[in-house]
Amino acid sequence: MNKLGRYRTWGLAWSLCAAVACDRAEGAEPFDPSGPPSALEGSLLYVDEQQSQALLVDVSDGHTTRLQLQDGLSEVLLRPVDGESTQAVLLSTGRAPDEDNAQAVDAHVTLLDHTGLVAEYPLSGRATSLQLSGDGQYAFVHGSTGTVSVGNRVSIVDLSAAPSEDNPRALQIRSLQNEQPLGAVFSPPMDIAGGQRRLLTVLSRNHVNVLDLSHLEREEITVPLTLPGDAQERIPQQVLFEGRNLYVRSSGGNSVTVLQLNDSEAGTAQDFGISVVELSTSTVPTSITLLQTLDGPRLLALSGRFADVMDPTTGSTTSVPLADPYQDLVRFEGTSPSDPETRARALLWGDGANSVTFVDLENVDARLERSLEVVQLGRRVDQVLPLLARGRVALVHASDAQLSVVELADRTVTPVNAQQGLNSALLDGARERLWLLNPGIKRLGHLGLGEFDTGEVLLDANPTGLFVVDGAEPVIAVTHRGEAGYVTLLNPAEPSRATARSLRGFFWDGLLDEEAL
Amino acid sequence: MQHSVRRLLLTSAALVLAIACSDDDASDGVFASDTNAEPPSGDRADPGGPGAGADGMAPDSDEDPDEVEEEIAFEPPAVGERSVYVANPATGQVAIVDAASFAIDSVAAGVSPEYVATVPGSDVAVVLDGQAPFVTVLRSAQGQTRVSTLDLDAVANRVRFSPDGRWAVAFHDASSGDAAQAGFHDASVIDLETDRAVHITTGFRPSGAQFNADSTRAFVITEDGVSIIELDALADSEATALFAAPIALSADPGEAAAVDVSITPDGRHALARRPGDSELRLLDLDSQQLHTLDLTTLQEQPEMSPGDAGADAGGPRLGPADLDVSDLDLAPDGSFALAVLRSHSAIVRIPLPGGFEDEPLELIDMGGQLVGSATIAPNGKLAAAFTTAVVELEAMTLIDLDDHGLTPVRLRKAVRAVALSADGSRALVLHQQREGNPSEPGIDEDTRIDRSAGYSLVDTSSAFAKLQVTPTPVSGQGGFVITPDASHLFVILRNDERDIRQLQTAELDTFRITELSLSDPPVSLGVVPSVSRVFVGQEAAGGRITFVDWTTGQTQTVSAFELSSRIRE
Repeated sequence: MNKLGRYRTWGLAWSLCAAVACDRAEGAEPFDPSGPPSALEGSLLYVDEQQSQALLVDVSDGHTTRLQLQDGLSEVLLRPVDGESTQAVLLSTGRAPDEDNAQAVDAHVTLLDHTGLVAEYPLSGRATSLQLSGDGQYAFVHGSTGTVSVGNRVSIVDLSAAPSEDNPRALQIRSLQNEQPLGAVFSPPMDIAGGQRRLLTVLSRNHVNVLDLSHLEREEITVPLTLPGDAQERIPQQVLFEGRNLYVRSSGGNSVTVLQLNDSEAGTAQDFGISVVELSTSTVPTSITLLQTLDGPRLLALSGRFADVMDPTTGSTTSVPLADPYQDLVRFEGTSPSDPETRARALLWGDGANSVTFVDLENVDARLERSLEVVQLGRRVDQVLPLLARGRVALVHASDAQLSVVELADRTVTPVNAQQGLNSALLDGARERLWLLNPGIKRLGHLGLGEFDTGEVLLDANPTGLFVVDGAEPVIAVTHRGEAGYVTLLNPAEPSRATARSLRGFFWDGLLDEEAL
Repeated sequence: MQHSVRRLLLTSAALVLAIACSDDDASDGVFASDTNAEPPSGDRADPGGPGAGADGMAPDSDEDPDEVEEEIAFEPPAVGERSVYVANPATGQVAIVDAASFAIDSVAAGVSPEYVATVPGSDVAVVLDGQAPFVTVLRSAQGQTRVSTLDLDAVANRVRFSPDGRWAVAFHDASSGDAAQAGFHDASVIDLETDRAVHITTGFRPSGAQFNADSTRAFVITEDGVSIIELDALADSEATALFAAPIALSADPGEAAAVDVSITPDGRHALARRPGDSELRLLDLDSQQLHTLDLTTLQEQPEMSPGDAGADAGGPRLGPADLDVSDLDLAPDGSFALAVLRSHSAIVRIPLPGGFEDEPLELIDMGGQLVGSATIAPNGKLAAAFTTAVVELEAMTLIDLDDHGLTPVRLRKAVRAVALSADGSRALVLHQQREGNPSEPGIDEDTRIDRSAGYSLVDTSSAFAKLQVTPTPVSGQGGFVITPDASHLFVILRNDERDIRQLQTAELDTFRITELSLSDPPVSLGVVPSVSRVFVGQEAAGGRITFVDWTTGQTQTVSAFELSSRIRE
C-alpha cells in the first residue's frame, strides 16, 4: 500500500466524520475498544466496555455508527439470521447505584445488525453471562449479581420476537444443593406430546433442569446427575439431542447420562416425563458425538485413549483403544483407499496429539476397531480447519509453523510451511482460501485450497487479527494496533497490496466531530 | 384307601401305535447315539426312533444313570399390568418402572428388599425382606406408588398369589436360601384387600403354596404334608395367628418326604410320589383320606401278560423289571396325571381321582425308547417325553394326549429340559452340554455341537426342530420367556467369566433368531403383556432394564433407577 492510498483512506475517514450522526453524550471520551472486533454484514463491530458503547464500522466506506448502550456492556455474541446475515447480541450487565447515578440499572440484551440497533431487551436484575441457542433464536442470561441477588435466577430472551411483557422471561431455576446455573443448551425441535417443541437444558453442578420453551409457565424437570453421598461431583459439559433423548456429558464420571423423554402421567406439571440411563465409558469422556448407523443411533464418546461406541437403546458399550488421546472429530462422507463406496467416516483429532485417526462411522458395532487408520504427523495438532467441499482437512501446527492438508479420500498429507510461525489461520470457506498470519511479521499469507496456490501480501503494520467480512463486497479485514483504529481491507478474490485499502482513525470519529463542533 | 386291584385299559390309539411300532423294528428307528450316524427318516409313526438307548432302548439295569428333572416353564414371571418392580437390597429401595412410559419411581421398602412378586395382572407388588420379618405391599397407579408394611413372624423368601389376587401366602423356602430368622414351620397369609397378615404354623419346612381355583383355600406344602387354610373363614375372623395342621401324604412317619406334590386346581386333591417308590399318593384334602396307587400291580394284571389281548395286538406290557416311577406330572386342569415308568418305557395316564379308585388307567407304550420325564402343555392336549439320563440320546417324543399318538422329534443334542407353549404348538428344548472345549482345534462339527450349550425350538405339528447353539447354557429358571401370543421366545444368556451378556429373540413363526448385546449381565426376564414388551433386568449399579417391544422390535433401556426416582417434576 503506498502512501497515497494510506492518505486516501485516512482522508475518507476524516471527511466522513461530518456525516456521521454520533449518538453520543456530550463530553464523550474517545472510543477505546475492549477487544478485537466482530464481523457483521459489511461491517466491523467494536465494543467499548468501559463506556458501554458499540461502534459499527462500514468497511465499504468507513462510515461509523457509535451507539451508547446500557451500562455494563460485557459480552458480544453473533447470531445467524435466516442463514444469510449476522446480528450481534450484546449483554449489558447493568450497574449498581453509585454517587453519580443513584438509580441501579438492570441488565439488558441488545440486538444489533450492520445498520445499528435492532432491539433492546431489558432484564430483571443484573446478570453476567450470555449464551445463545445454536440457531440464534434464543438468548440465555444468567449469573445473577448485585448487592442482593438470587443466584438461580435466569432470563430467556426470544430474539426473534420483539420485547414484550413476556419477553424476556425471568425464571428461578430449581436448585438442589445451592447450585447456580452454569450455562444452558437449547434443543432443536423435538417430538414432545404430539408436537414439535424445543427444550432448554439449564446446566448446574450435579444436576440439570429441563424446561419446555413453549411452556415456560410450567415447572421445570430437575434431573440429578449424582446421588447424595457421591464423592465425585459432576459438572455438565455438553448436551446433545436425538429423537426423544438428551445426552449429557459431564466431568467427573465414566459415563454419559441419557435423559429419555417419556409420556407423562396426569397430574405432573409437564406433559412429558424423563427417565435416566447411564451409558458407561472407558474414562471420563471429553466429547460425545451422535451417529446414525444402520443399526440405529449410536453415541460415540472420545474418552482419553479410547473411543466408546454406545447403543442408547440397550446401554451396551464397545470400546476400542486409540493411538492418541483425541477430543474431537471431523465428520465427512467419502471414500477411503480401500473402499470406493461413499460412506460416513470421521477424522479423530486432539489438541496436542501428534496423529489423527480415520474411522468408519457405519457399522461401528462390528467394524469400529478394524476401520481405524492412524496417520502419524510428527507434530502436534493445534487447530483443525475442515475443507469438506474439497475433501480436505487442514491441520494447524502453530508451534511448528506448518499446516498439514489431509486428503480425506487418499489419506495423504500435504505439508504447507509458514514462515516464522503460525499463530492464526482463518478459513474463508466461500472462496476456499486459507488466510494465515503471524503477529510478528508484516505479511499475510494465503493458500488456495483448490490448487494449493500460495501468495502473500505485504502489510504496512504488524497484524493483530484477521476477519472475513461478508456482504455485497466481501473483504478480508486485517486489524492492527492503533489507538485511533486501523484496519487493512483486502479483496479475498484477488488479495494484493495494490488493491488493498485501509481505514484509520474510526475510533476518533465522533470525538473529532464533536471537537469540530 | 389303598387300591390293590388295577385294571389297565389300552386305548385304541395306543394299539394303533403299538402296531406301527411292531411294524418298524425299534432298533432301526433309533436316533444314533453316535452323533455321526445317519439319522432315521423322521417318520412320525416311528416311536422307537427318538428314544432308544445307550443302545437306544429302555434301561434294564439298576445302574442306569439318574433322571435329572429340571422344572422349567413357559409361564413368565408375574409382572404388573404395566409396572415392573426392581428391588435393591443395598439401598432398601424398590424401583417401579412404568413399562409404557418408562417413567421411574422409587420407594423405600424395608431394610433389605430381596424378593418382589407382583399380583398377576395388577400393579400390586409384594416385597419380602431378606433381613427383617415383614412384607411391604406396593400399589402403583398413575405414576404414584402407595406403600404399606405388614409384620410377619418370620423372614420369608417366597410368595404365591391366589387366582383372584386377594390373597398371598409368604413362606421361607429352605431349599432356596438360608435365613437366620426363618422358622421351620412358618408361613403367612396376607389379605391384600385389608392389608392384614395372619401367621400360620405349618408342617416342617414349607416348600410351596398353592390355591384352589376359586381362591377359597390355600395349601402350604411341607415335608410333613399339606397344611390347609380356609380363606373365607380367615376373612371373617380377626385372628392374627392360626395353626394349620399338615395332612400327611404318607401313613408312615418314617418315610421320605414326597416329591412332585401338586394340588389339583379344584383344591380337592394333592398328588404326590416319593423317590424310588412305585406307589403314588392322592390325598383327599376334604376328607383327609389318603389313596395310594401301586403301579407295580400293573405287572400283575392278566391283560398285561404275554398272550393277552393287548399283546396279541402287539400292545405294550410291563415287563418284570423293577418299576421306576421317574416322573409324575399333573395335567393343568387336574383331570389326569402322567406317571413316567422309565424302567418300562411307558407312561401311565391316570384319571383323577378315578384312577385311584376303579377307573381304568391308560398305558402309553413308548416303544422301547428311554423316557424318564414328561412335560404336559398348559392346554393339556400334548405332552413331551424325554430322558436326561443318557447324553447320547438326541430326541424326544411328543404325545397327543387325545389319541396317544406319538411323534418322534429328532434333536441334535441331548435333552436337559423341555417346555411347551400354552397352546402346545411350540416346544423349547434346553440341551445338555458335554464335557470338553467346543473350540478345540481338530474336532468335528458334531463334537463341537455336543460340547456347546444350546436349545432347540420345535414345531410340534411338523416335528421340525431348529438347533441354536449358545455361548453359555440357558437357565431353566427365568432364563427364557414366551410372549402370551406365542409369537416370540426370548432367552437371556449370561456368563460373567466370558463376558457374555445377551438377549436372544426367536420369532416362533419363522424360527428366526436374533441377538442383542446387553451392557450388563442379565438377571431377570419377564413380559408386560399390556404394552407388548419384554423386560430384561440387568445387574448394574443403580439398576438397568432393557425393554423390547416384540411387535416392533424396538428396544428401550432405563437405568440409574435411584437417579431417575430423584427427578423432580
